[in-house]
Amino acid sequence: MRSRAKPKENIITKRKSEAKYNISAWLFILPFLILYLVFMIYPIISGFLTSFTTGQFGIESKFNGLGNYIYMMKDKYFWQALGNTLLFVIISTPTIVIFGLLFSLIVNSAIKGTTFLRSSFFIPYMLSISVTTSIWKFILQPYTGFLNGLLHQMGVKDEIYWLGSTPLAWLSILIVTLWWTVGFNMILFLAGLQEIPDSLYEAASIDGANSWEKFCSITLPSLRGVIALVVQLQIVASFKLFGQPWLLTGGGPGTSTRPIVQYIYQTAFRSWDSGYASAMSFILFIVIGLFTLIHNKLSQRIEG
Amino acid sequence: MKKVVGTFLCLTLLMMALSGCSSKQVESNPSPSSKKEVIELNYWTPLSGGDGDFMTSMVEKFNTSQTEIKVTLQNNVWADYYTKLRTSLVSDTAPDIAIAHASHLLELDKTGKLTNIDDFAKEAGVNWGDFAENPLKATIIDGKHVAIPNDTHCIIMYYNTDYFKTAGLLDENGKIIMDDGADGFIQMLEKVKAVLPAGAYPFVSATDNVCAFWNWYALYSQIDGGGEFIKDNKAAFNNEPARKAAQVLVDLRDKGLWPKNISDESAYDLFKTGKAAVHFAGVWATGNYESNKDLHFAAVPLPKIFDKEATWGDSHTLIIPKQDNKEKEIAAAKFANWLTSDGIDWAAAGHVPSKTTVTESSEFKALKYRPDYAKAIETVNYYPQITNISGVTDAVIADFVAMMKGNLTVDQTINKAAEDVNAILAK
Repeated sequence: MRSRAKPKENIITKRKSEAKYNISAWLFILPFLILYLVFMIYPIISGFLTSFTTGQFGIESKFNGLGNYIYMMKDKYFWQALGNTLLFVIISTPTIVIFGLLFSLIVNSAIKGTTFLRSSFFIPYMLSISVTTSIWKFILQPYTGFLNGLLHQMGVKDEIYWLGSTPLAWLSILIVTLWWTVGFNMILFLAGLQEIPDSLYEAASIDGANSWEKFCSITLPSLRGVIALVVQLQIVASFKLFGQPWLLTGGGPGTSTRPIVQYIYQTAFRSWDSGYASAMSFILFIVIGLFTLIHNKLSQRIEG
Repeated sequence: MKKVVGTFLCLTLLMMALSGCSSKQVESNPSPSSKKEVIELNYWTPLSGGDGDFMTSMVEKFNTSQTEIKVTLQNNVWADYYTKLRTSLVSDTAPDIAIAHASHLLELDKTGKLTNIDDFAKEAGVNWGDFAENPLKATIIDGKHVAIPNDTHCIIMYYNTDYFKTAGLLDENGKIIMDDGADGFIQMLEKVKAVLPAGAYPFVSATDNVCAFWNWYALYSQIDGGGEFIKDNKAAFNNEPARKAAQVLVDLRDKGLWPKNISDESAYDLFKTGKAAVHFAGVWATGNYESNKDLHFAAVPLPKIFDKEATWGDSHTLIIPKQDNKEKEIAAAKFANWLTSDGIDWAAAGHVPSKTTVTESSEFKALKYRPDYAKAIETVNYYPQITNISGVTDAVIADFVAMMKGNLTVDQTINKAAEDVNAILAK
């Protein structure tokens, strides 16, 4: 009889201690969970429900089913803004990823002054968007800007409109974004590079491999995981493009550099149409989600 | 023991986290005064740069000049000011008094939370007869005074007197000699161009931002039969006067008198450093230009390029949100009255005070530049009162910028702008 009672007692005690463990765990995460639910999850759900309403924010709110989504499909400004964002994702992702890798290789090499280079590549990332765009506006503005002044001194007669013509405006936005954020990618790549054991490079040298072969056969394969991560983060960051065009070109000339986030902002807070803005936000969420999914599948296939 | 400590720590963390959620509203604590309690007012403004500094010193002056009312100024970022203000009105957390542009009054009034100043104007000492007619009219909605006008800021003409003197185009009063009409204006610019040094332009004004639209709006308002922007919730400017106004702007550019792709900052920099003879800009540029002692300039209302004098403009007005404490509403009106009477200090920012008692005073007339363009406020063609002026103007600004760049013809611009406005109004 005794030998049977012991296992039962053990099970009950075990369950009780498990329960106590679970309660402690829940209590630890409860503060964060409450804040997360209230300030992240609730607004997201609320926003989703808002996307089915119409009416001026704060004045009225009428249910109108899929009306906002249908309007969106026919709205040329929506497609233009989405197209602008996609354009930026396509031009910025390879650029900022490759430059990040390039800078990390430079900083990781044995040349003199890498500590200085590392700081100077990364410091722009510490600046706020307004400071960054103020600096670049001063550099790029026509007639009285620093860059054009320099070019005139060097003999260039024409006035180049860095922010005034659409192709140059995109180039400018790309350069400013690169200057501002490449440091972050560089740091991630640097961490990955420093994980690669030197012995691999030494072995390759013995086998007579040159730098390029070492890069292709050792460095790149070892960085596969980091590259996938950096590309993923860069894609999402590029989709969220707003500050640079808003502060540099206002989305102009006209609306030709207006990204989707700016269009959402103007719809919500200038036209007070929170229903339509919410609908567009959710479509953006779905688009980013699709890109992420596709990217994940591709990375898995490459790695696998 | 460990478990008790652990649970206690969790609860403490929870408590600390939840306390952070408490409302951040500024509680007004009545200061312990012997006889009467000081009325504390919260005052919101969207002012940037120099404007903010001037307003801060004016509020300080008010607070030290009397002991009945104490005003706390909260200056906000311009970009999302109206989001913040409108949200606060809707949620009954509005300040006691706030600045609102005349163009946004209907937008705010629709919340139903603006007081009708007439209810306590007399008690607070506010006399409507003190104010200039045009700005005052802009604060009346459905026969109610929903705000107190503080100042008007409009587009005026700045010109470099050195260049005009060299060109022999200044009369004995320092005013420009030119023939009437658009042709007269263009001829005058061509005469000035002849005496300009290399790298200087006859005419500048920002083309890459809202100024492209404001300049058109100003000229459109000068034409008989023009000036109507929106009527009966539809675009009302798809007409001949609108095209005439736009054509003049395009002509200035095509005749080489107005360079392309001028950004907002460039426009001010060009005139300030003597690289432009004429600049159409807002009155707020006065303070900036004054600071360059080497720049000799004058500031006057826009010339009559078409049939009558008119310009684009808006006003800072003071709204008093509804609240239960009637005493505070009256105190807010008293403060507003004082502020608008202290227009001489506010004029330092370049704006034109709304009270005629200020603009007709000898102190104001002794100021530099400002008395010369003060009368421009009488011919400001205010925006029509609609509930989403920002959304509408955002749409048309893009079209006029495209026109100034040469991407759209005059005809295309007016058609597209009307289409875009109607699309926004229809939503």
